Amino acid sequence: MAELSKNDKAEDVSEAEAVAAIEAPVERGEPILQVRNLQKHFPLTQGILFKKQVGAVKAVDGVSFDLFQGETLGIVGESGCGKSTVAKLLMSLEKATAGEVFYKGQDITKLSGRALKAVRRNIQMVFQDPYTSLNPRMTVGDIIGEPFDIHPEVAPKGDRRRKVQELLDVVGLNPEYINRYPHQFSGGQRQRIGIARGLALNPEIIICDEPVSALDVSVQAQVINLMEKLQDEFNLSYIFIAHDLSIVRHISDRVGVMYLGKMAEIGTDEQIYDHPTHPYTQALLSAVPVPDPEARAHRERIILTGDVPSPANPPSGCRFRTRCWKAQDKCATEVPVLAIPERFQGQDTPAAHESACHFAEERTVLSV
Amino acid sequence: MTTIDKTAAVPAPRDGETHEGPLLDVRDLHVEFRTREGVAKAVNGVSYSVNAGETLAVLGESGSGKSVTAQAIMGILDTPPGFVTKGEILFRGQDMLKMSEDEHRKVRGNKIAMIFQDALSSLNPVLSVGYQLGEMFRVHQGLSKKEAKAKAIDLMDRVKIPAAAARVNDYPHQFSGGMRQRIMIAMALSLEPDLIIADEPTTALDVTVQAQVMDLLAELQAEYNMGLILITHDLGVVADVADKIAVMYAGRIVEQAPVHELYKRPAHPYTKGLLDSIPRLDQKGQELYAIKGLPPNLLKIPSGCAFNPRCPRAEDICRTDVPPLAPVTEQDGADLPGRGSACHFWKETIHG
Repeated sequence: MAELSKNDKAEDVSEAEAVAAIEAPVERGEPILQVRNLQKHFPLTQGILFKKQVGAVKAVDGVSFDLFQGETLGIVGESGCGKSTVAKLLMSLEKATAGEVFYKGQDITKLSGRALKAVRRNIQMVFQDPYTSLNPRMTVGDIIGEPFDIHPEVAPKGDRRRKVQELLDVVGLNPEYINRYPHQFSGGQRQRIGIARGLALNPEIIICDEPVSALDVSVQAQVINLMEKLQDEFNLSYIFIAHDLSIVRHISDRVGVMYLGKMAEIGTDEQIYDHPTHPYTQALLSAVPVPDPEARAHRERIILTGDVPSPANPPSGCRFRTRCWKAQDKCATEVPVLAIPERFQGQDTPAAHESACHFAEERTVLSV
Repeated sequence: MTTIDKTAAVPAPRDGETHEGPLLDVRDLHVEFRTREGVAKAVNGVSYSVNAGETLAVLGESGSGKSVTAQAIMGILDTPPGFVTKGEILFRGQDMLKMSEDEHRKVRGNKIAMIFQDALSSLNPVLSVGYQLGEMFRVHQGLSKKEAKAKAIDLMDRVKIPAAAARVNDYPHQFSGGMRQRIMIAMALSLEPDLIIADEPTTALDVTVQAQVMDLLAELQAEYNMGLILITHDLGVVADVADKIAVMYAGRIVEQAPVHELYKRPAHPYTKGLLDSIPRLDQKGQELYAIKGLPPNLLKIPSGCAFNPRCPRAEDICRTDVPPLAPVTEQDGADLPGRGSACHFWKETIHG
């Protein structure tokens, strides 16, 4: 079922078949989610009564990647690069402007009704801020059990309390806390509640949007360990969005680097961190403070000038060219495609991975 | 704008006052918050000092008292509920806690300035940045509006905001996060203070912008030979810029050391735990080391060493006796200048 091609669209497949396809298991290592040229443009309007579109914020502008069953794909990038919008599109919380997201061969941007509901059950999310993503007026039991109201087939009514207690136990909280309210928990514990809610419907994919950045350093490691344990236990695939590059490296099998709505470079963690070929990745890695004072003297930092340009009016050609030290005329006219750079094609080097730069070359940066 | 001599190791104080010893010396500071639920002891005997041109990093998790200490130094503690119950804050030898409100105001901003974490909520959204930058000159130096604005443009140039003259009348929301943080830095620098307290100055920023801002701060610090207290929880930033480090936990300094020493061989189990929980390359695929448990509730700080419920080394003495911040020495007893650890078992932790 995992086989697909672009013409194999879900349009004429009946809803029942779509649901069957969604429920079918996927082999480990096979692609479970395939994103193709995904775009999300938010319209900019003028006027009150007669809104006239005067432009668009191109939050996500042609992103493609695969997520394989059982792996963790890290997505890194600065704020405003569109990584959270990608997460929302994958959850079908936002409607894509163009492009496709194939979940087990079904294009979820075109699904509706029962089939969409089935997809949503299988793709869950853990949010960044454990303080605002839990309703303060609901008990922990209600928060974790709420998904069962929408998908009652997962847990029959009489069984729910037991199921919620099981989930609490799985994420390392005392099952007796089921009647407590969110304010009675610390940040790390709240994030565990958020994870338990994400796990409630036995999903196959969990999208984690900055799951540990709001937590204290000593608690971050606990939550990361928990997430890795759960991945093995429940055979989950993660999309792990974060800006902390050392944590992303620790947890991810593959890493994608985003810049201004586009994927700049994607590859395995070793390819990205030890053999980056895109100048943006190199700058990003070199800017990360290394927790080793000895490194202070002999590290070379690439300090980018200026800020990220506005996604409403991105630069022509390569979007990074305004801050890039390698930029030439070609960069202003031609959009570089995300592919293995020509010079590395056919070579068996870690530098041979997809990088969207006309002048991709290796450069050693002291990385995290 | 006058710049002071960069080459002088210790610059003469600009107002002709002479004073031996550290620029700022905090001694045995205690701060508590009297709340309806009880008394939260936020700071319990903190002592540290900063010299001119030196960077002290105060490292700690949320609730460790690092920001409250800074607020007490600045005299901007919310009273009530916060009260300084004990201790001295000596700035050039003068106890700021005993100063009158008028004297205090002359020091604050003029001699000691602060950079806050969240630039958007620290700047007034309905006033232009030029007006807010100029306020320092109007209030402290009595300059006219026009002169103050000229000074504001100067300052914005100094912190490398492009097209400063054109942007001086813009409002905070028209600037990006990094630019706003530069404005905060400019504001803190405006009266060329001797000491800057930066409370998580880059936490809200992206790494590439963080690098720009930290670089700028370091450059300006060297130029003015300022003391800098950097409050942060980021072990990476600390390693990059600090000269010495004070690690705080539950309102106390649990370890202090020069930067290289601390990372090489921590002498407190908490510091060691923090360093071990950083993901390292050779641990890929393994479980991260995690300090178990949670930071303590300040209303109910554990007896003895506050870290004892989470400490892998804890023994009976840790549950009863509060460990003092003892000097740390080499195995043969040789001095390790500037090092201290508040652990009953620091010897085992560092040499063990």
